[in-house]
Amino acid sequence: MNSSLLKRQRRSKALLTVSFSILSVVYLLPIAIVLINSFKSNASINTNTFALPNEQSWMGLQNYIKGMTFGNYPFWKSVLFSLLITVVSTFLILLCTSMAAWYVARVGTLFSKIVYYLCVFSMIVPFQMVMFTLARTSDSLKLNTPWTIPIVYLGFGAGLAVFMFSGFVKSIPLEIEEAAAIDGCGPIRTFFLVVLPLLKPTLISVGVLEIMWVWNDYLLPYLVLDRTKYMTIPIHIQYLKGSYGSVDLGATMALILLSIIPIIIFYLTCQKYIIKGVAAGAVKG
Amino acid sequence: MTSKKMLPVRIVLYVCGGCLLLIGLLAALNIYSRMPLTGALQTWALKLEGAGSWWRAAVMLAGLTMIAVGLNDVDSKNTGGNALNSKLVRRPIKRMFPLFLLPTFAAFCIGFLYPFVKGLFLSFTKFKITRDWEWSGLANYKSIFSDAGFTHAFWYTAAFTLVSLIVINVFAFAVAYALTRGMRGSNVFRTVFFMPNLIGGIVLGYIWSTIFEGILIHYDTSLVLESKFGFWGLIILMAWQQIGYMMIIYIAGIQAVPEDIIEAAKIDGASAWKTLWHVTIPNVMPSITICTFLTLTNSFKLFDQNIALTGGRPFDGDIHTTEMLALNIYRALYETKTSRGPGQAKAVVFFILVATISIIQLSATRKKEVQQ
Repeated sequence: MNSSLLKRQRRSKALLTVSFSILSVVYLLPIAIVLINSFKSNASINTNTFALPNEQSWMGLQNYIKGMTFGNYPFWKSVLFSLLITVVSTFLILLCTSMAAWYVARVGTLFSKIVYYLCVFSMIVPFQMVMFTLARTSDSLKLNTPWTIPIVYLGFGAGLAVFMFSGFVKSIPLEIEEAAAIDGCGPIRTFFLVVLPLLKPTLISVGVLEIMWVWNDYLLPYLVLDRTKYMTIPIHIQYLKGSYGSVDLGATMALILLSIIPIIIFYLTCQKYIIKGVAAGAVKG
Repeated sequence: MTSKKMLPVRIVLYVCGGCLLLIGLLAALNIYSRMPLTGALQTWALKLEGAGSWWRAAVMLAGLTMIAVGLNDVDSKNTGGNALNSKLVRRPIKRMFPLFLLPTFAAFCIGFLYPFVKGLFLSFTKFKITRDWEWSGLANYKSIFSDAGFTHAFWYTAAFTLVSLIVINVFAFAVAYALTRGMRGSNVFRTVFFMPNLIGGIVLGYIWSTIFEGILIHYDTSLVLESKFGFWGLIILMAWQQIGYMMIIYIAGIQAVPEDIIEAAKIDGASAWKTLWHVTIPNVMPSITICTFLTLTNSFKLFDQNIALTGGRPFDGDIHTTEMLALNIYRALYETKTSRGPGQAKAVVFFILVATISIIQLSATRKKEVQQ
């Protein structure tokens, strides 16, 4: 290769970097707009959505203070319930489905095969199909509190998780487990001390997928939870939009920003795992 | 390996389990009160029907468990892998059935299997609350095809799915291709483009409706006044959210293309465009399959973004012009004043559509993949 070609290549790469920098800024604009507007007065948000706050429209932290108790439901409660449901559901799904998947992959009976195919089948069933009856069932079984809704999540989310876990278990050499058995490990110890550590990459992938699903889920908790007592962040935001949002845009913008911040922190700290998890989860179907 | 339990034992398990399951199911579907029962039988049946849901669930789960225990002793013929031959591993695990498999299976029954069966059943009935149903055969299914709102939602969803499928995949592939050219800062760009994917649909809808209203207010109109704004607004929103996700999958696909075949194409004098078209794209066909499948089902099942951005507005009589299928089903189930039966029938049709798309699309695109 001659030097002029190299130079041209270098220049085109620099050009790409510049254009992608601009594109990235444009990509982040919607979030910046929320940030800017959360400091502005209502009138200014309505008419000059894209303007920076000036002396007249600057509200300081007032929108945030107002947003906390806005809409007759304290926002921090929604955040806590969201957090509780996400953490417990993810933990429960990871624990139960990894055990089930190990069983399904290692015990080749008719029943474990039926369970496996039912799981695969449940992956292509949209939520709308079971929506009404699931909400009724969980209501009558008293699964409508943030402490019990993880069971509903386990049931409805088991398909993908079992599918992903059992795919990975099949690739683990059986000799490792046999060695553990010869050394006197029972199934419980074999699973928790030998298999589970080997499953770590899949645990992270499935964990990321479940966290993203449960944290952002709107319809399932909206239908299942007792809404007069418990709200999650998406329910809270939609509730504000429906009833109070048009009244006080500023406070709603502040709450939206507050609900995005945990996601961004989570993303920036576990970015590597999140992207890997997403790529792994894409193989479903 | 032979079965542990003898055949007669298993048959007893199946029969008892089946009976328990049937008893529980009939109570849960409130069929006893419609049967001409008399005497003590009637008293017991009605008692079970009136008992708490936990009782019925327990009876059904006990029945299912008995069947499961029976089936658990039948070896599946074509189980892959060598686990079957390893008595060392297999037997001890099998004894742990109640601990390892049962909790997940029970939750799966409550969270998926039972609602699915009951939903299927209720789609053939006329009901407002699940207890008071009235069998109506195929009437619900007939009624939804003459429902203008539903057919509109179907074509609207189809159009939206097609446009978003093309937009998202073309842009995602272009971005992924550019980012794998070895430019400076590609990791930062990747981080940025992926981020919107983590924000939930409701919040996304609210962010974008603020932006669109901010623009449209200067033209004296609004997102909820003209349906074309709702359509393209939703496309922009979905593109913003999904491009990063698909980009990640495409990047992985492009990076997996062996370096030497690209080199070979270059040496043979292929232009960059030709290399892309004839070498790179056929080799990333698996990624294209996955991404097409994902965007297709994501768009088809879209709900949160739809309800948060326009909520189906503007309304044209009974037709909500920017309403997609999922939202239409939701309204038919929860905002109806008469029977919820048609709503449940719509849900079943929706399920069949989604399932067919998944299956057809996968088998169609799999054929085009390059044999490795």
